[in-house]
Amino acid sequence: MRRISLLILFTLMMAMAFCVVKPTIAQQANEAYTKKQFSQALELYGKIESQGIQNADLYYNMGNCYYRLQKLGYAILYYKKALRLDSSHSSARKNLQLSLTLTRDQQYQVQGGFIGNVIMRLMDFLTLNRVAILILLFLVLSVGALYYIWFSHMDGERHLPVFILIILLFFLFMFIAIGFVKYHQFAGHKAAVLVVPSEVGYSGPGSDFTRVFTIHEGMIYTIEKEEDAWSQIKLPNGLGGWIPASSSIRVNP
Amino acid sequence: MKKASLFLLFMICIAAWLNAQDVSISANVDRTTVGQSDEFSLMVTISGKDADRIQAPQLPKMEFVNLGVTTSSQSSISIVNGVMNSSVSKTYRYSLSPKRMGTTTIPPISMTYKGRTYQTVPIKIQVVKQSTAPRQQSRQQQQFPFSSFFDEPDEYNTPQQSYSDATFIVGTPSKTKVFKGEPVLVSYRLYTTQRLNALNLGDIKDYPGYGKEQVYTASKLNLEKAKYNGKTYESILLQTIVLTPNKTGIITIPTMSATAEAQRNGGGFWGFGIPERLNIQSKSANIRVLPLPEQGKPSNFTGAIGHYSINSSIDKTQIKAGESFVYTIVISGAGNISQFTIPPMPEIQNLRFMTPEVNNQVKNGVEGTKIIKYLVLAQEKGNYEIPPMSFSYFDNKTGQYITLQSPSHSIQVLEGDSYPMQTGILQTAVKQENRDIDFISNNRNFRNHVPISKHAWYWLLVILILLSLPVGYRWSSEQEKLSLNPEYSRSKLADKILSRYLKQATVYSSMANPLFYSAAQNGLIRFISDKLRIAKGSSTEELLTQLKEKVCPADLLHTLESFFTRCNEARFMPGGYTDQQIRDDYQVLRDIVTEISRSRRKRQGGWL
Repeated sequence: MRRISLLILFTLMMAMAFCVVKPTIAQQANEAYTKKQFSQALELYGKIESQGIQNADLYYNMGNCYYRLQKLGYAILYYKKALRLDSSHSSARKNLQLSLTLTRDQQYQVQGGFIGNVIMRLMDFLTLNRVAILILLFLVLSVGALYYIWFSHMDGERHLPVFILIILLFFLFMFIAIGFVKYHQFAGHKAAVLVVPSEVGYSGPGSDFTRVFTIHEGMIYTIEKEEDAWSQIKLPNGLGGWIPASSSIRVNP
Repeated sequence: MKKASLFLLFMICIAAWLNAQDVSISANVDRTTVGQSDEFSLMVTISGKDADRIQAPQLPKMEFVNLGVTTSSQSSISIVNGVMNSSVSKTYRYSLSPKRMGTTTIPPISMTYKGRTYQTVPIKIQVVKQSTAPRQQSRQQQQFPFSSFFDEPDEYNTPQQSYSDATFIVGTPSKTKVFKGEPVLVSYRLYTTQRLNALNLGDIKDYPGYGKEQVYTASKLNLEKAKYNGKTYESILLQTIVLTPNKTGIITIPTMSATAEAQRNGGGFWGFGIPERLNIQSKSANIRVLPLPEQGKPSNFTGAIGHYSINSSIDKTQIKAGESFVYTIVISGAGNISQFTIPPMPEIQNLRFMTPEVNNQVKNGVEGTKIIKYLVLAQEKGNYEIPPMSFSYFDNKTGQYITLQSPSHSIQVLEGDSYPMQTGILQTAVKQENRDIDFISNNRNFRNHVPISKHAWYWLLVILILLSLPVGYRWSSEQEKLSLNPEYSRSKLADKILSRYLKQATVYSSMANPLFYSAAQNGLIRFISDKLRIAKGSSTEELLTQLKEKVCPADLLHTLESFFTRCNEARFMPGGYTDQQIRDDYQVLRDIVTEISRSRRKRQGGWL
């Protein structure tokens, strides 16, 4: 067991070592932001992003730059990107919520009760990685419990271990289910943000169709289909329509 | 004793009953014969200890119109023979007016108190055509100080009442077209060609649709020459009122009535003319009220109409936290100065604006200033800016809304002297002053985010853990078989021993080789020596002796002895055994080994 944990540690360290990039650009960018040179900071962060780095903090900082440059659509997009990688990023969530109050369109926000809030916060806390670790942990615990039941020579008195095993299995399957949901959210390409000041939604792919709605910068919706430079989108309130594909950017390109 | 207490109880009951009786109701009227259009009073008096707490009695249905009620109460305390009596009486004075002529009755008025009903006696009222109202009415009229000594003209001949072209009152509004809420001055002027001795201003009859305020009332009968419709009259400005229309459309200005005594020329006693009593009523006039335009109405419009200017000032520019300063806003101009509400004060964090003191100084009804004084408490140090206060009004001349801004002021609040707080009374919750996004993350190297689920080691671990399950299951089921089935475990154990000590013998037995016997003997000796913990290389005899000493079961010893004998025989008589015999002997060997290995040590209750 000790050897396995050492192995895990080693693998992790190797993974980290490969992922480290030149820290100087990041430092410069952070400094530029502190000096309120937001467009310069954004440029530097963009450089890191163009290296193919996906990082929640990076996206979060870029979102802040866009917010300061009053590009609300991009700010919301980048906060969403950050939260896609790390749903427990509390600053990103807070800034996203503040930004969403500034959009022209009122966006649907879940206003659950106490239980709803607790569940939402728990789901935010459970990032994909945390869920993966929890699945592994409960898998080990369940298998351990099973081994205990198999090897302990108790005559008849197996109720407690079996009960514990059932609970462990329940958690295991629960986390597997959450893991599926989280992975779906992580890997899904549908979510997108409107980055142009406003856009008209038509009933078909073309501006000669009937006007259905008008949305404004910062609107979050899902792209259902794409057809010759037009995207079929679905708004959080259920309205659907077609807008030019170039007006929106997907959270997960 | 019992009797005495019963008596006492009885006395208390009597007293309570008497107390309960302490309420009475009575009704009376100020007169029983009234004119058809007169008002008279019905007084209902409730007296008693609890009169104050009794609900107003309900008037029954009757042939009179109830014009209103006033209440008054009186209390008296008297001490008689050392016993204090307090009594309260409450009087309800109803003003009634008859509905029809003839004799009518005010039915009994009843009230309920502590479950008992009290009633008044019915009162008969005779309604006649002529007014029976006492002369009081004229006294209620406003009396001019310059009324002559003809104060009670009735003591002379009743003067003829007439309306005259020679004396009249004209009410003139300053404008005939105004906006809703815009004040309009109405002046009442009296014109006359007669000589007036006295003048009593009567009631002003009101019409719906405006608010009214008196601005000026003449105090002396100073007549001056004035022209009206091209004719010259003696004239006096009697009264000026300000009307503030509160509905749109046509409204009628109040009509003023007055009585005057004019000297008639010629006749009469003592050379005086018999005074002529004149009832004068002003002519009605209309004002057209327009609604305020909705278009361009500022959101901060609070109803100001007219023409204004705004200014503001603060009395200090530097104070310490915990001290206060005065912020004054002055709105001056002409219009409905006292009518509009003050513009709202913007909230400034850490500056606490107390409820303002508003002072309206209005001259002749429409012109004046509104002074708004805020006492401002500075709660925290820092530099603060009092933003310009914007004030919107409707300009009645241009017909447009105008928004004015007062100058802004900055105030420096220095660190205050710390003063001990008393208790939690002055504590306030920390308030959010502004909202902004969080600061950036100071991450210095952004690592590429790869979810754990995309790492190979994760799935490798999962697969390893899952693969361990069938292996573990096999292992555990084997263990279970061992522990649950002694036969199986025994043979398993024998197999183990055989494979360890008697491998060679097993091989030979399967080949039916007679070498089996020597191999079996050697192996068995080694096994038993290990078991008995004696030196290896002992002879068969030594071994058997040892076994005998250990009180080995007899049958086992016997089997062992015979097996060794057969082994010895086989050694010296090779080829003397058939395959079947070898196989049987192998079985015997197995049994011996199983038996010995099952045997327990002495301390465990066995013989070994």
